[in-house]
Amino acid sequence: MRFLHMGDLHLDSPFASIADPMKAAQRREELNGCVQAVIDYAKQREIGIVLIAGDFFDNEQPRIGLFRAVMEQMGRAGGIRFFIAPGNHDYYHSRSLYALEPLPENVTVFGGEVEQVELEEGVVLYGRGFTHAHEPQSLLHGFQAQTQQPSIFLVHGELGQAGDYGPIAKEEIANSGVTYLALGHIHQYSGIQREGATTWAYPGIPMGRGFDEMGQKGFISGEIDQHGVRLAWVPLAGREYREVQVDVSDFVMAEEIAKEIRMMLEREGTEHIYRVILTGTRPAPGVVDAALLEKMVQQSAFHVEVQDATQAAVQWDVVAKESSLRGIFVRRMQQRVRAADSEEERELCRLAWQLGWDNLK
Amino acid sequence: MIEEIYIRSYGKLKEKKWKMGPGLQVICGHNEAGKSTATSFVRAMLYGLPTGRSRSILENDRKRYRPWSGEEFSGSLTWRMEDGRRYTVSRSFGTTPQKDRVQVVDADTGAVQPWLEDNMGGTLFGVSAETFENTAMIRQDGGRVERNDELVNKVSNLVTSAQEDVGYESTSRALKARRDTLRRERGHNGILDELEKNEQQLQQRLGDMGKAYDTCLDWMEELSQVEQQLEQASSQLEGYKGDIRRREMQQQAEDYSRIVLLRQEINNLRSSMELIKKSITREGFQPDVEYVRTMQRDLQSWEESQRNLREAQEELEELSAQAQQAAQMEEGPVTRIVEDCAQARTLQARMEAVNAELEEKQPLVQRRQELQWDIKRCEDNMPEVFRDPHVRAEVETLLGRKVQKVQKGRIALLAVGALAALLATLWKPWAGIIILVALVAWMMLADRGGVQRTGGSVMRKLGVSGKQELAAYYRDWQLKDRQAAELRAALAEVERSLASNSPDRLMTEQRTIKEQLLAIFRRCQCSGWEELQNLEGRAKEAESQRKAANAAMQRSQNKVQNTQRRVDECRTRFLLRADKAIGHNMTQGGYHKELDQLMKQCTRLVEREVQQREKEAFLASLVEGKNMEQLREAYQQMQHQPQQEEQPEKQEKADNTQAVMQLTSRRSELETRISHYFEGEEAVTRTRWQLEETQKEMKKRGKEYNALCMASQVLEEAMEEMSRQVSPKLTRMVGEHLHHLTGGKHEKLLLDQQYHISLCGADGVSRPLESFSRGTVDQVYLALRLALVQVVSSGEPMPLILDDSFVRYDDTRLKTTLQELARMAQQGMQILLFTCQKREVELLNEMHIPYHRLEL
Repeated sequence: MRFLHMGDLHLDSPFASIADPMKAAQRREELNGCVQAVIDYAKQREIGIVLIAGDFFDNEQPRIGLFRAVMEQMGRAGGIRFFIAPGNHDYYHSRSLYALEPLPENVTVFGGEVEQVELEEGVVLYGRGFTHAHEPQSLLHGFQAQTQQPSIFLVHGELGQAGDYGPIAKEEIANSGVTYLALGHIHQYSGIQREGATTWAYPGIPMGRGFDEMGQKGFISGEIDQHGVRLAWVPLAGREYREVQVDVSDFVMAEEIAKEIRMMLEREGTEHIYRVILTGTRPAPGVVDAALLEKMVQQSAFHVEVQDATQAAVQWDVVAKESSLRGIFVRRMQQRVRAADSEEERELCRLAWQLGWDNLK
Repeated sequence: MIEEIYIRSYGKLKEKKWKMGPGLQVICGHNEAGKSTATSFVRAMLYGLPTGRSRSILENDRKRYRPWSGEEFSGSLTWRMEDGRRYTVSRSFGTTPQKDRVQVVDADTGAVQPWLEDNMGGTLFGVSAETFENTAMIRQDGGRVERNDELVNKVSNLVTSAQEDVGYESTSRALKARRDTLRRERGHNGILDELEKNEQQLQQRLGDMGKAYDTCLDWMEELSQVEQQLEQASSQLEGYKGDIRRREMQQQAEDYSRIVLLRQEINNLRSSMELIKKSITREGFQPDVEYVRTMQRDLQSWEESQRNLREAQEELEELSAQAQQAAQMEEGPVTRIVEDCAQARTLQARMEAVNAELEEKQPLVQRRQELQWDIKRCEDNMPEVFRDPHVRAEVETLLGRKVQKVQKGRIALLAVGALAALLATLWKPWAGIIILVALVAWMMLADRGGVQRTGGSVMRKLGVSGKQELAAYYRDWQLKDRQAAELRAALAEVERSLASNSPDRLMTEQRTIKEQLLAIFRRCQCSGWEELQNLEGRAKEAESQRKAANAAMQRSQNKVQNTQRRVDECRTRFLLRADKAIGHNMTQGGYHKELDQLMKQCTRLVEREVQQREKEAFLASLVEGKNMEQLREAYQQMQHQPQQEEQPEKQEKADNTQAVMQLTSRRSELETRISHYFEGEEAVTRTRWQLEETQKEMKKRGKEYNALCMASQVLEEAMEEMSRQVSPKLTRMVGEHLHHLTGGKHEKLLLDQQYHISLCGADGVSRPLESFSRGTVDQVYLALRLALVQVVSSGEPMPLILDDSFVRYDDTRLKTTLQELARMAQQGMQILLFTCQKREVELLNEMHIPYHRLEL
């Protein structure tokens, strides 16, 4: 039996990473279009089963209009059966749309208990959904497949011994007895993993929504039978979140930097969403104004964000030895950075250092 | 210490080699010989050259000193450490730092020293290239500014931060200003405050949207139930129909019944609406929901403006009390003190001018006395006897100095005598002979006797015995007489100079001014000028407080008036509306009650209108395409069916029909509501986007604010450490340099808690730096630069490099400066003095200051 495994679509995400509201709305539409892309892929390859491992919608109160439209879309793909195991973002409860709205016949949503469905070629599908935003116990806890047939368990949850999002221990995977554990929650593709006799994988998010979800995204296409499961990760075409670095050490004018960025984006592909990180040592004062540069290059790609990570061309250890206000300031900032307890605090110290230094220059 | 410099090629300098020793090194070269190039070379050897980023060739040494031929520019420098080790750094520079080559070797053993290659200057001195340039190197007119206040500012920066372009106060102010844009303590909101407010509003809006979502879910649940019930009722209804005709008739009868019922309901609704309209209509005016809402808002504005008025009045009362308190300080005395102080300041200035003038006249007075004394001495030494011109003539004659003159006289007399004798001879020959003999005898006797008489008396008076001695006396007298004449001429010149403004008159004026000043001090009951200035300061402060209190009160009064106007406006606006809708002469509480009641009625009316529209729509859908007459007939026929058979069925059917109608109506209503909700659903996602965007910005700005707070705190700590550890040493060294540079006139540099700088003279009196002349501030600046070279570095002592730094100095100042440099050189500092002026060398030679001369 052939199937597709996807998860964490987070339909109707607000896309706050994009500052332009019109473009954010366009991205939401593109994300919603993922469902149709997967349906088309399944139809072309005559795949009859689509597994959605939770966080199908971005929150527990998805837009009713959108929910109906998506269900209608899935209902129209009559030859394909959809199985949804709700996650922490769109958990199942008596007042959720999963419970209230009439679902198409080819769509099954798993509730709070483990449910079992017999599929073609004797494959058994198990599934269980989140019923709260936080599930401190694994949804796989105590489960063991009671069949000799090839089987799949569709569930949402993080990997680990403890946590708020249905933490699944590797021992539980090994003891589950299922052929394939189709997981959702982690937004990066995990690769095909194996624990005991069970193969498991997170397909990752099918389309990036922010700079913490960079690069190509997609879903898993698989085939399961008596001999086991064979899986392949399929990238989904579309815009990507990308990060590029531009060394601005040798530029004097802001326009020169903007030109360099434009050329780089042209090479990389203008359809994507970029975070441009300015590196190197700072040129003349006032040249590196990230906000200004962001405006200057905004039209060069779908969306561009510019971050200044340049360093002042200063030998700090030498300056710190000076018996001057600047020297003492730098010495004390160095001490603070060294004494910081966390990376966040260190980052704050570095920012304070930079702001103070810029004003002392 | 720099021991050797070898410039292979750097700018215009080629193949130059200088050996240097400790102390003062004077490198001479005419203009454009390459002095600045040589100073740049020293810096480049120690620290390397920065990138060629700057386009301006003047700002970029890499571009500026690269040979036009494109060849590499290179050289070496040997440094002797205090412990005797010697290192030679060799560098060659390409177009970019990547193409540069550097090697540091031990000059004695030749061993490579990689630890020094990266940053030799920084490792040796413990200061960055920038700091080295700003402290160890004093360029031609470097740091010179034309305005005195700018120079004072630079000096202030040097004292507080040890750098002339960095000031603690300006940096602290800049950080605070940036902090204030993010979060203000009072007054206008900062960006963060606005973001937080915005976030709260968005959260509130999302909360409301969540409630609306829940309500919609309720409707959907209800709709689902209604549809189930409708299905049940409809199927039940189906069961009562015997045949098609009967079912049709029954359907028609049901439709008719529904239509009648709906019409009845619509009529009922209309009646109900009429009643409501009647109850809310007043004198022909019927308010709607929007009108009532506007009135509620107006009423709130009225109440709010009243509250504001009360607050403003309270504030005014408080400010009035403060103003009364401030008014107790009478205006008269303040004005008098200010006027007295102004007069005293004028007098003080005049006194200083008179003193300066007196000081200026002093050399002339002294000169006059000297001249008078010289003249007197000269005259006293001159024999009095020569003062008589006759005596002098006789003496000259005696000494044969008037022979020609006398001879001429004698010839004239002889000629006259001869003429007389000739005439007499013509008359009587014997008479002519007698006259001629008598004339000759008289002349000879008179001449000889007079001369012998005068000469004898002079010689007697002078106690000389011979003509030679007399001649010596007379020559001496003539010399002294000439000297006396010259002295008198000089005296006359001096007298003319003094005549324009005589010292006596100035001293009289000085006394008058002193008396006038004392009178002012007595009048103001103070002991001196400083006390009077303090008194004036206090008086002005009191005056400004009084004015500020009055201004605040004026502002507050304006605020009260404005708020009163606002109250009146709000009240009038509200009452104009209220008059039409609910009447007047009520308390505000009464208005609230009336408005709440009116709002309920209006809302009810709107609900009824919606229901009416829905029912009318439903009615229209029922009536559409149907013949009412046929329906009515079917209804009547169904009414006349046998009672026994039909009665129970009919009754149930009627109930069922009623239920179906109600359920259908409800379903339609729910569908309409849900549909309305869907239309506005997109706003939820937009609001979530706005909220996340706001939170993202808040996080970013919050981090920036915290970083600014931390930077300010660390800066304050650094300043505290600077004041404790560096500034005392710096000010002490500056004092030493100042003492020598000003010849002991200024001894100390003082820094108070507010970082204001004052100078303390040898008399112990301190004055703010701003009150000194430009020349003095220049000297303080130089003293600071000299001290900084010794204070800032934490490693090897830095050499002091002076590039034609004293071109504007006059000879006196240059002398003291060179003496101070010599003193520093004696203490072990290496000083490289690049100059194109001969006078430095001449003065050094004149003052016998040891130095090592090198030629560019």
